[in-house]
Amino acid sequence: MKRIRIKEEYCIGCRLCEVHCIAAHGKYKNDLIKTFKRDCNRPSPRIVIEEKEDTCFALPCRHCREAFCIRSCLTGSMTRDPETRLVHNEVERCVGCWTCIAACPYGAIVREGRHTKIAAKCDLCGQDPACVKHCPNDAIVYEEVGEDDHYDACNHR
Amino acid sequence: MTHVIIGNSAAAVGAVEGIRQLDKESPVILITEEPHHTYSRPLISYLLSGKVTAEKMNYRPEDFYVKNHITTMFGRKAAAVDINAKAVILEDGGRVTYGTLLIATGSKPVALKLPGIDSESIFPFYTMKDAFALKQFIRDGMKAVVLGAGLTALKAAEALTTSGVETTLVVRSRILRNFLDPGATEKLSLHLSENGLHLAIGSEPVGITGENNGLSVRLTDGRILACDFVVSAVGIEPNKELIEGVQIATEHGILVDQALRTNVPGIYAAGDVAQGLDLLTGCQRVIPLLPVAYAQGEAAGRNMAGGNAVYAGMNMNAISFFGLPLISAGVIHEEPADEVYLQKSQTEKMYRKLVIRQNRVVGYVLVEQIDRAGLLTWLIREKVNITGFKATLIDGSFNHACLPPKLRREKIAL
Amino acid sequence: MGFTKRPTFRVERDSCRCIDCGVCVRQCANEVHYLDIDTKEVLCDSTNCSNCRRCVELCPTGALAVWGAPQETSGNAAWAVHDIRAIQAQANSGGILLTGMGSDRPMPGYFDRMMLNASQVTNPSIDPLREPMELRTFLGRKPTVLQLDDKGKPVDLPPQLELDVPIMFSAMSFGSISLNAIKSLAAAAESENTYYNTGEGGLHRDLYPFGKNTITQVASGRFGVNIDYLNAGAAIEIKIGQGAKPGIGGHLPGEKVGQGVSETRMIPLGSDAISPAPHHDIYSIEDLTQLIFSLKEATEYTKPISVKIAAVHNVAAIASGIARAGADIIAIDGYRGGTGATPLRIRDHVGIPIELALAAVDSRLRDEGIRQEVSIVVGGSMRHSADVIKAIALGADAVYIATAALISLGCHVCQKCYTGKCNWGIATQNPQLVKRLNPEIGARRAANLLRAWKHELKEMLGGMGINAVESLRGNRLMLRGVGMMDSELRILGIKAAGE
Repeated sequence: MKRIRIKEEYCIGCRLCEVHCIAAHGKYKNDLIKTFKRDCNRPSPRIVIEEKEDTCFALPCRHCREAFCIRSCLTGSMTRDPETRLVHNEVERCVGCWTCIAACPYGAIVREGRHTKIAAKCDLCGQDPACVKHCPNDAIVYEEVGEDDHYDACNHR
Repeated sequence: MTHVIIGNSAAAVGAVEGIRQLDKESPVILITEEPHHTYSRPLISYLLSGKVTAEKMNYRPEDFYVKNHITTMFGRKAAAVDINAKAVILEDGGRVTYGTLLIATGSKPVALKLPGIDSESIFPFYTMKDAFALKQFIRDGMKAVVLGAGLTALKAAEALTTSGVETTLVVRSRILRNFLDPGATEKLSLHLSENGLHLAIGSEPVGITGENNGLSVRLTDGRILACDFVVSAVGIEPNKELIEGVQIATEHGILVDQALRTNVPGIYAAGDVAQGLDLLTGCQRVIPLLPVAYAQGEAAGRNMAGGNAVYAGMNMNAISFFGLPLISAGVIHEEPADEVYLQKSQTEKMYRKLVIRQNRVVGYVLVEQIDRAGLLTWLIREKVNITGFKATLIDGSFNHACLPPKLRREKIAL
Repeated sequence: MGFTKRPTFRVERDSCRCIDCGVCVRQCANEVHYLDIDTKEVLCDSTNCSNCRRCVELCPTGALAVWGAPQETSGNAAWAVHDIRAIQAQANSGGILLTGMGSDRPMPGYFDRMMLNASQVTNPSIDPLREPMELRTFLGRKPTVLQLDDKGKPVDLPPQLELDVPIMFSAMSFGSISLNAIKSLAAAAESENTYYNTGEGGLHRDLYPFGKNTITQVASGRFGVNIDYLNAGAAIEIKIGQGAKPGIGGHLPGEKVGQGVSETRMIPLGSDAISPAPHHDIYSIEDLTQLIFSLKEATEYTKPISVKIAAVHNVAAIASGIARAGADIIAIDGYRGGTGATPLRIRDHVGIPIELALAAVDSRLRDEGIRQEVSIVVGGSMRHSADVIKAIALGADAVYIATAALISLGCHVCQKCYTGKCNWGIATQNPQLVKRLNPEIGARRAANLLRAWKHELKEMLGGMGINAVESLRGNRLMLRGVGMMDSELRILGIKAAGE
């Protein structure tokens, strides 16, 4: 089971992760120029840089083992993949009620694009996350984690 | 041990998943008077407006119960519980014995007592069946009156308006009183009006009279609203008929502790029928919200399967009307000793209210700018002491980088 | 009267490729790039661009280029633009001109005019991929006579540094460069089994675990010197001078003296760290002897003592004195040697080329019969493995690299180290900038550089038919000069090409 690990001490706040995340989820897959210049309704970044003064780090969905978003989802579109254990939003069933946004303790679920009523979140780009691939300082790394690794704040619930 | 679940909505589904997390083997029987698969009740207004088709109403995939090895008894109404014999007695005479029992019968609409309420053109709006009936009835250009000021009434009114029905919402005091503070209500009311929904605020219906080509709803302020039909959605109450006369303690709903246990060993309750622990007050309260129902059901299910789960719910609601999103959670109406911080735009719909009590966030209301609301929900739920980063909460710049390093690392496992 | 500051470099933004993502805005500590509030476009003002190329490297669409800005010139060969600019700047400021890195003047380099030999027919060359090739190097005083005990182990062998590759990371202090930069070098030195040098900035507590690969420096400011510090490393270096600023001291401005630097240097937070030009206790070779033996006494004769000087006119005689004073290693830094900050005129006009200094010192110590008493380490613009191998052929035991090491970490040689705004997180103490150098990546890259050079050294040695670096040391027959005067060839001790 691989997950994105955050290394706060090396995040340089360049936001290349956000930029590449947008392009990876857009209709011009991974083409930055077309995504930013031609797609008026380009996706929202599923990873955000948390920043205050000297502190910054990238924060994508933690794929919590006890996921508030799944419990809160009104339609049942937010599910956990039984194989990968990833939290996944089935967009065709999502109606954009934003209950997941109200519930997610990490603020890792976003409203997709500008006019869409769909909740979007990190899908690890099918096991090859664009954000990690393009992080210039290895401040986010994609690595194997154990089932029991403490990985999110919701575990005790 | 056989686990029996009465109900077929969020709490029941939560219980199925809760049980199966810990116990893959034991038989589970699910009894429901509904003749169909589980569906998402909040979606009925989307069904009415046509944003969601019938196939997409399912709260879980079609094969959900099969995959989880659940014996389903659809269309079978549970009539009573025999706690001595540990059996559920069905309306059709059948009996189902249980080892553990979850009562997740949900709620039912409050019946409005009003002259003329029996008219055929008065629709309830609570089940998928109601939504289908209404959808069949409505035609573009019709006029409707919606009675009620809660989420259901408003979502019905929105769906009707978008379907081309000229709709008036009759509201006694204020829309979404349990969910929005007056400031947010003001923003929402304006938005609803702008989108063509008429509001009749401050009045109550006193009677409905049917005429040949329509209905008239008379209001306390003397107005008479002519319409083709009326939707009544004035409120809901726990559906606890099943346990009438049984020694299960109830107040407004079935009283349950933090482990979702009733006073009768082996019997649990969850969802709208349950009166469980409120995280903020520590009191027992019915919190008729889907996320709470699911989480209660899941915790109950785990406990039925021998687990050790506890759950306390809280107000948390996200909703949008005509594209305007709103989220609120926790304490919405402050007490005198609370600190309240407001941000609002004069020209736009943006509105943000934060309620702080003893250096902890206890509630918020967000209109339009709702992104990352969950961070605030987390602060409420975890009762995080905000000394040190309060200013960022007030100015709206709060994010994880504002948290003290120790807390941040614990939360994110940096 | 003031002159408007004109850009030295010009940033070009290809608007067909720029996506206004703002990465450049967030990465430029010189605030060249900015987001226009009205148009929401990313724009730039080249005035303060240092050509560090951070924006160019990080721009995700390759939309940026930095060029030298066209300079107004009268075509006057006597008055070059940089001379005119310097006068204008000094007329504005009334101050000394500062710069960073090694001299960038087009002075003739001797390494580039020396060619290496290769075997043809009469003695076979060696393929280092098939046959063993020894690069191991020992630095320290060697005994005149080798005595072995009954087990065959040498008796009374003075302490030695053992290197797997004859390349070490030169002195760069914590203060002049960031802790992450030092961590990178320390970890690379550890993995490649060589040494890095603390410079005069003391040893940060995080670096103590790298002690066995550390050379600790004692300089005129004596920053961070205590007994733990002296004992922590594998060797101690007394710094007398430095190629980029022979004869003058150093000055670390107070704004770079944060908590970490303050604790490590043992000076008050925010105070200027001033290294005097001379050691106030050294005015003769005899004084130097005292310091050398003080350090040896303090560390119980377990560590070789190095003395570092800048390459200056009488370097051979000075080196002889240092050898006789008891030093185990002499480090010589050529006039192209780098620094974080130095007066421009000193850097560009004081000192002599390292090639000549090295040849002169090696010859002198041989002539005096004391060459085995010291190891010679040279530095000052070792740009690649060929420079290293030529230095060894001229007589060096090992070389120091610093600029090359920093380039491996990300430095683009913009020469603005003294501003403290290094966009690559190297020559800065600003925590936001320091973060930009992930020492795990830095260590990997610096170690890669050492390994790459090691491979090249072996290739070149093999080509010469030599299978151990020891056999090349001082073997000037392997060098031939091209385009040099007789006097230069004589000093270098090499023949002209064709001879």
